[in-house]
Amino acid sequence: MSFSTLQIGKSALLAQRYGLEVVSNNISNANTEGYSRKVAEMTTANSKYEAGNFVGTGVIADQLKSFREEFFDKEIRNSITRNAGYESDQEVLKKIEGVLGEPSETGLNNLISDFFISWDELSSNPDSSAYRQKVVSSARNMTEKFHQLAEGFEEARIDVLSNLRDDVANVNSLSKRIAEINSRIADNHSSALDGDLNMFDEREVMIEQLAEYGKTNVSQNDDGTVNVYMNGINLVTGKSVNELKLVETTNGTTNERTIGLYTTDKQGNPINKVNPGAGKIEAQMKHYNETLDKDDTSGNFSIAKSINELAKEIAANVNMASVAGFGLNDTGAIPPGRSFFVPYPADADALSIQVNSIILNDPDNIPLSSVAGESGNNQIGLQIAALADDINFINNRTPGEYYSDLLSKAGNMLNDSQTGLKNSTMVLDQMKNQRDTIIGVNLDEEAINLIKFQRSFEAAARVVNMADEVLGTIVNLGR
Amino acid sequence: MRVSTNSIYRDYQRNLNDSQFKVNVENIRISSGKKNHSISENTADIVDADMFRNKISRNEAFIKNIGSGLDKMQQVDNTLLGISDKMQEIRDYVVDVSKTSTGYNHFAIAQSIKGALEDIVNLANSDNNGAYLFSGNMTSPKDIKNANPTLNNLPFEIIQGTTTPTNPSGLSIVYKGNNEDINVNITDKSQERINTKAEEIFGAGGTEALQKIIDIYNVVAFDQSGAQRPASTLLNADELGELNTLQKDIADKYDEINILAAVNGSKINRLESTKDFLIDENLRLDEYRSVKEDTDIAESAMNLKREENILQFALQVGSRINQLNLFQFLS
Repeated sequence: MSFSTLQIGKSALLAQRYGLEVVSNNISNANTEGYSRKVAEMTTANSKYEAGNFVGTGVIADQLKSFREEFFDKEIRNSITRNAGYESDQEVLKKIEGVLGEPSETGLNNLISDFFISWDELSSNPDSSAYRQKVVSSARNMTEKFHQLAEGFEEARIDVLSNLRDDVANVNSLSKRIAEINSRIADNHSSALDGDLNMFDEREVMIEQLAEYGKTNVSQNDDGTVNVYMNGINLVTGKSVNELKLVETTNGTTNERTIGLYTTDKQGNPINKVNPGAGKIEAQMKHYNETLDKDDTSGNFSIAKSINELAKEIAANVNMASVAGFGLNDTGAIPPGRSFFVPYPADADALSIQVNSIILNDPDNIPLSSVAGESGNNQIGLQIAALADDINFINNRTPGEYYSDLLSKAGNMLNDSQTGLKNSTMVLDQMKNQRDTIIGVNLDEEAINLIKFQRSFEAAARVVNMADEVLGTIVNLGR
Repeated sequence: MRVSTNSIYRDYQRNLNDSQFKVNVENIRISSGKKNHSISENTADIVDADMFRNKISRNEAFIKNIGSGLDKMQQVDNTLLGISDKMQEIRDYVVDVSKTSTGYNHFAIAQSIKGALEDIVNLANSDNNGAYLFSGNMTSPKDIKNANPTLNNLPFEIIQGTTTPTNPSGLSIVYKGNNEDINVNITDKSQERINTKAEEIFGAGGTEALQKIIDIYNVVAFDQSGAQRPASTLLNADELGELNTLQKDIADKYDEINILAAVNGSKINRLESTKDFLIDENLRLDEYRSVKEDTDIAESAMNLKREENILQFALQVGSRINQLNLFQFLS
């Protein structure tokens, strides 16, 4: 009797200590991302038949129960994808906002307005060198702003490309790590290590990280491994990985540079185009291929292209009037054909538009007059000043209205991304909270479990102590 | 329902971030005086404010144009008055010469007429800030061609040529400008001509009236033989007839100049009205711009106080979350 009691006490000591270890591990991982709480499952050991009765033989605690909810995992992955897409949108659009420098009194709209106003003022004082200088100065301010915008958008685009490269490298790295964990899980599927549920947690964390980059789906295999897909394209199949690659192509006709995501063969050559469906990569590709692409042909909103078109139209319209004009010192009946902006007759864009150096060096050369030798003739100036109110200047809008339109579009895109991010963050937090109601660690609960196992351990120790005393009594019988 | 430790902190952190962000927004609004600091905050208001600001700047340019135009036109008004006075002076001389009973020194009167003519020409050559007033759009001295027989780069010049029986003084008038308009924008939809042209003042070729004055001078200063008129010699009937016709022509021109001055004056009044209208419009536009762009301090101050209270309570809740833990009570 006493030896079996000692055995029962021992099993209780071991079981309670195991329980304490599991609780301690839960407490230590309370803040670990993706960790699911564990519970030590205790079962009664098989009874033995002794002296006509069944007597218990103690407790067995060798099973660890983990809590995972596939439904919430899936929903959280979807939310993460949406969230990351909005975050990327916001990041890029914030850069665009920074480049635009709006709202501000020195934004492009005001500088364009100042430029046309300076023509108005010069028309009122045609032979004033001060007003001629003002036209040159306001034109320079405007062209410099155009340059700043064009350079800013191009830098933002290069930055997006760099981020995209990092993102694709991360996707490939995560896919490899998921495949490695798959491999470890598959290799130990039937062994004791199958009980290392932490590998499943680690893999889920990586799948969730992967979900930031594109719409991610997961399917379970019988050997414990998973297949991971990005919008239907296989990234991980059990232990093997399908790597992705970014490929930049240039359209021979339009010179438009676009980027695409492709699966690769073993030599790293691109095979099939991948549409990430949502998430970081898709958002950034959209901004690279459309929003920030000055040569965009998609027909969607491109701020870089819109700014280019505005610069081109301003240069073309002002030049059309100015080449028919005469400067203060010009003579003869035929106009010198002096364009106010260069390049001319080639189209100018936001990066190339410049005030003609002949005018820059001597504002008397501003072609203001329609006839040589008429200092008070302001016909060309009036024509150029009137462009500010021309409702057919560009896309049936005045220059100011056109810029306001594109500012509105950029502003609304940023607002949409901010609202989307706020909503998706809330949904994601709610999903995580709901999942945490099942898998999360509650420190109060663990504190109670800690006391529970501690007390049980103390009681088991008492059983061992008591059995020891009983055995001592038996051993000393007959002395 | 189980509540995990992480979910408590996750919600708390999000709410704290939101609260701090809102406090920051109100702080920036009050300190900068501007309602919006990002194009995403209220895009429509930002675009509207920009539009109002541009419209205000444009109007300011028109006000400046009008101011500059008014300056010129007021000078034109004064100059026309001066020319008109000189015309009247010449008419008075003609009346004096026409009186048969008087013993005026005709040659001396003729010199006064010539002097008045020179005064008129000087007035016609007036400039405003270096730009000639009555030479069309050839406003600069370098626009005015100085070639024989002219001696200067002024728009109007009296030339001393060869004497002839019909022009015993040999004087003539040359106009070297043109008769083009100078228009300026006074609103975004309208222009106004701000110059008065030589032909309007002096008739055909910009010299007709001045030539008539030379004709008067010739009649008064020289007899029909072309010789200088002796001091006491009266004009004969033919000469008086010719002088009378010329006097009528000058009287007509005098009236036309006065009408021109009246037209110029009414244009000045109209431009001043337009200027006042633009100033009023700018005040109104600036109010609209302010509504769209500037911080409503009272509203923002209340919002700030509210958000600060929320943040304060959120921080208090945070400190309670840290205390409410079973481990705190276990010895």
